[in-house]
Amino acid sequence: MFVIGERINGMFTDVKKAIQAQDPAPIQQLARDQVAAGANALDINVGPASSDKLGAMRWLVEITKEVVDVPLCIDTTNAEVMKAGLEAAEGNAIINSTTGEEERMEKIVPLATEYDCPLIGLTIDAEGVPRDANGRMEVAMRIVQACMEQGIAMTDLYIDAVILPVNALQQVPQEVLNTLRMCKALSDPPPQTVIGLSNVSQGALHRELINRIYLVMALANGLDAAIMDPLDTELMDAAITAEVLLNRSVYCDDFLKAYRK
Amino acid sequence: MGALTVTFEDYGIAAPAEAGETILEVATRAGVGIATYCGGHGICCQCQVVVTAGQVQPKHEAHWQQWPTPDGKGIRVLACQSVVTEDITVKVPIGSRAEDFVVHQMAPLKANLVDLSRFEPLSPLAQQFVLDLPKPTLEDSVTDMDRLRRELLHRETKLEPITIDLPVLRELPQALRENDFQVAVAVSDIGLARKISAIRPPAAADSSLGLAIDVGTSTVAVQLVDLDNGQVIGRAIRRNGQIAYGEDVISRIVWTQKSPEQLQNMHRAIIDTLNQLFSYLYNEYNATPDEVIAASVAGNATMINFLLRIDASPIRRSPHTPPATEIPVFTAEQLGLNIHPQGAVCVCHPAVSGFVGGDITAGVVATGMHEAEELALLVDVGTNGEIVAGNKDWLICASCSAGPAFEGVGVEAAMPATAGAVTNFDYNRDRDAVDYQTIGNQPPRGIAGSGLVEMIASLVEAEVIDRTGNINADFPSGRLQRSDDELGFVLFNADETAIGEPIIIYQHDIENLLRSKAAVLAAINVLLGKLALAPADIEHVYLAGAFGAGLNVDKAVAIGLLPDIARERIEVVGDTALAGAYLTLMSRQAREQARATVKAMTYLDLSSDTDFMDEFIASNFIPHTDLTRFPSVST
Amino acid sequence: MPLTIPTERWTAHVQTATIGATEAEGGTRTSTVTIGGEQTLPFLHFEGETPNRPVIAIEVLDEQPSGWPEPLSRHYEDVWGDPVAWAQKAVEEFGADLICLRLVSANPEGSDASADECAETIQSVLNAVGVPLIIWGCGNDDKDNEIMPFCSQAAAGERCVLGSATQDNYKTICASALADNQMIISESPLDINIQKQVNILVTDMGMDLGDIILYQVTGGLGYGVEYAYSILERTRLAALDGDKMLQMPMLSIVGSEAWRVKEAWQPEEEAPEWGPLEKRGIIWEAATATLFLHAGTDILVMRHPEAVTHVRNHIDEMMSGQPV
Repeated sequence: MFVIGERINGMFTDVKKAIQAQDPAPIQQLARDQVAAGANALDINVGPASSDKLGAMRWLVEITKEVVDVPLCIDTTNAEVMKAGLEAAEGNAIINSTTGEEERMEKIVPLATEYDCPLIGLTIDAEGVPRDANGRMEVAMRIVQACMEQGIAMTDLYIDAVILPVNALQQVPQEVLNTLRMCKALSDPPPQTVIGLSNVSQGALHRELINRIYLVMALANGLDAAIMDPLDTELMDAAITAEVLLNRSVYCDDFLKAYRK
Repeated sequence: MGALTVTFEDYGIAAPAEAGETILEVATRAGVGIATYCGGHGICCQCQVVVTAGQVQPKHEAHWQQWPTPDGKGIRVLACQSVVTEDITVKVPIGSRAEDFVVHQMAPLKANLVDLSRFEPLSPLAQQFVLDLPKPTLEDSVTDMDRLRRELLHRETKLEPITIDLPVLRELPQALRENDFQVAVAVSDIGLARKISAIRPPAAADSSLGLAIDVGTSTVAVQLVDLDNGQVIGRAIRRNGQIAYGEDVISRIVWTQKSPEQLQNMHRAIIDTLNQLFSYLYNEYNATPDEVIAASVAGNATMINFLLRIDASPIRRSPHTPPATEIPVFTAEQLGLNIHPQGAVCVCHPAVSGFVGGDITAGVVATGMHEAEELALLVDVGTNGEIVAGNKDWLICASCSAGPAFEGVGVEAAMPATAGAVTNFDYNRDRDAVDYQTIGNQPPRGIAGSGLVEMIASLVEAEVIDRTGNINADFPSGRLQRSDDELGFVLFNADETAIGEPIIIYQHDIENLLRSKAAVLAAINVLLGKLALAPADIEHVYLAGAFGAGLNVDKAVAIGLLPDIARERIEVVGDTALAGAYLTLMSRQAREQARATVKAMTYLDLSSDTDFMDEFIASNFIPHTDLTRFPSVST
Repeated sequence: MPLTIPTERWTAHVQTATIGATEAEGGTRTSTVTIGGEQTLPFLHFEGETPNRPVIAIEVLDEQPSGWPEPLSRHYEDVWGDPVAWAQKAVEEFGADLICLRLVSANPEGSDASADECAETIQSVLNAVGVPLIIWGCGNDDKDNEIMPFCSQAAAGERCVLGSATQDNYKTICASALADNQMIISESPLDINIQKQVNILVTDMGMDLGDIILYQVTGGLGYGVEYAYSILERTRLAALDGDKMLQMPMLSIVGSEAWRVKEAWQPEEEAPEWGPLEKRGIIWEAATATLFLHAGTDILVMRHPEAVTHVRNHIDEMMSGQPV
């Protein structure tokens, strides 16, 4: 599985403080720690930390690049900030994200070709988040078509089925699992799938437990990537174990260690 | 601005709105902090609010979600997905709040209130001893417990009797042997005995921390203290999360009676508030919960009972007797507080009655008025408005339910004393301009307690308001506003403030403030009257509560918050409850004095006093209907 | 209508390893052997690069063997008392890319040769031939742990491959390899999980990914080769899928296994339906080798010169990328 580390996000107090104080040290430590824990890419999100989102994004990307080599997932809804982030990342990036709305796709999808990087597409349209799996699939199809038209390979597209908090909308986690399965029938080869894992436990108690169990469920339903906290060792262990159980990774006695080498 | 109004009940804010805006957009503009992590796209579902009056329209018909409410009234919806098309009233549940419940740094307490030299030698609520115990042998084969006891008494004979709780006893044999019988032992003072609360490797004794806590009805304040020397490491304040269940103690007691879960919720709200404050301090000052081995708590009877999850409803009904006013020392894990699980939690200040609580006792001990010759008056302008008069020979107290207007609840322009809060205010009629000071010298965000006092004094002097508090509809200034049927006065224009909106004081705000100050003045006057004392007989006034040290006491007298007493006798003392909690955390003598003070205090019940009602009505005037009582205030 | 052949896109590729060190590199080899680096399954050149061709190592024992069938022994009778001569013949006459030297004389139940004697043999062989060397112990763990440090030291600087590290006995060989900059064989009893585990153990000790050659213990044709094939193929697939702990080049021992089978030595009189004895062993060895080649083996350890020739021709064909 492809792990995208979620920690460099301005909604976390430590990151927010660092952005406001322009102090690179905490951010760089988070970058190093997440990669050491097994992250294959790092999400970069300014969050509510600064009103100068463009400047803050650029700064975050530059200081992170100094210490790690993995692709940086530029996380913003603003097209200008997205471009700034992609520029700063010099193409070693992932676009996070476009929705299925026409105007957004028109702005964002070409960036994937221009910067030659993968793209995450949220199954949200002008009406908001679809109620069920079928609704999500309709939007996913539109995103797949738009990408194919631009010549973007399906291996470079990640469909995000938008997981919602279980304590607010308890039927949604199941719909997302269905969506993950159905995505694999969209095309041949099919697009990849990704979820923002932590949102499933937003506002609930026992967050780590909920995240852990849901990640395993999603992996069993074909999930390829997740935006998650690699510093949660139990979460990583669960994912590694799931990969072995799903025969995606060869078992050996030290299988937990093997993944991390 | 907008033609519609969204009333945020919990905040007392009536925010203007345009048709078509979402509740979240309106709230953000009005300064009501609603949590959102997804930027308002309906993904994180954290912005849930309850619409109690009026209808909202879905932003997206196809994806509309709504949930039932705990009490069945109104509907629960996402603020970011709900569109305003008519006037509505909205409650914001605690779990959905953002900025409002942020922890803030707090200014230090006045030095004379926390002077530990009054209580030498120090004997904190918990201490650590590093012991090098002789190992058991055939000749010396006393039990582990006796071995420990023996060595502790060697160090300090006054520690007898020594006891231990089961969880710690379970760890005792292993802890001694793992550390080769060299251990740091934490010992708590639980009043009747000393209790061993932790046995750890010697390095643990490098850090012995304690917490002094003031559980106020509206605001909770905490100090992190080094128990070895009394040094204050850090302080923080936060709004009491129980506010969502009611502004004052009565409405909160009523809430808890709705069902057994509500008492649990009320208890959880204060525990969460405290734990959040602790987390802030731990992060800021690199401390860990295990280092904190004691906490001293001051608060009124209702607050303490909710802290301990005891049914406080008898306080509400006549004869208003609380379940208990002297509380035994608990361990943190019994309450769910995030300090060392066996850390001693002591409500060191017993309450006097259901209405004059341990926070006032703490204030008395902190000011030292119970040991002084001079006749003093302690006035705590908090939500409950308590006053104590007396000296080392006698003490009388009363409470007047003033309301939290001066703490910033129920007055739109008001805010807690944090960055951007106006602390000094003067309106110059000739220039139609305002001279002011804010905390942190930042552009104004709102008015702090002392700013409110100065504002009223200034407006009455400039004749913007008359002595009954009515705004003069003919006042010649563009600052005068009319919104619906109510008059308001623009204190700061939108371009002068930090929030992009003007700061306006409305008629109903002034009425709230007047009522609060009237309750305080009336209580003082009635109390003095019963003692056959005149204000001039008071030699020292301690003004505690929602006012910073910068308050101009002249203005406090000018508006009739305090009687006309010589200004040099009036001292603004800040959070005396916290100061008292700090003293009792550090000194057994202070703890004994607190208990003695309670026994010495007589409670005067004003609620059934006819004089009080008359005084209250007369005090709803700036400064008072009887101006002869305020000779030094120019009219 | 043209047929589009669906191609697989692998995200990872096999490790590359170079055995032997020339003078410039601090050794005395006149040739080195580079294997691995495959980007796809064996020989599918339309799908990915196969930058290095598989190689053949000829087995040399350090003492005269017994019981070898005549069709085999006739090629080595003149040299098999002298490992130096044997190695020279294997290189000069039979074209071995490497020599796989087995120190069978060290076996305590046999000649129980000492560490010094073994070290001397290695030195002589190194002086006699210029190709890289695989040095294999006698199979007795305790004795191998005794001799390996000396053997490794004798070959210091030459980038040899030391055999072998197993799940229960790997520390000494790793220590020697690390000390003298040698490579190691990572051995597993035909179990992919144990193979991966051994690699974790040796990398934990400090071995570099590029210094490990994988070895599954396999039989000859007719003795479970289908299973062996599936294990080797699964290993190669995991490598291409990105599993770093299974990404190393692979070695298969073909010669000793193929010539052990009945079909290689049973006289014609006893099994006339099997055809001439002359050919049987050769065919058996060549077939076994080819099988493992197509499963992904990079180094084949062989014996019979004719089998070697057949397999080398086959490798030429497969590497040419042209239809046969």
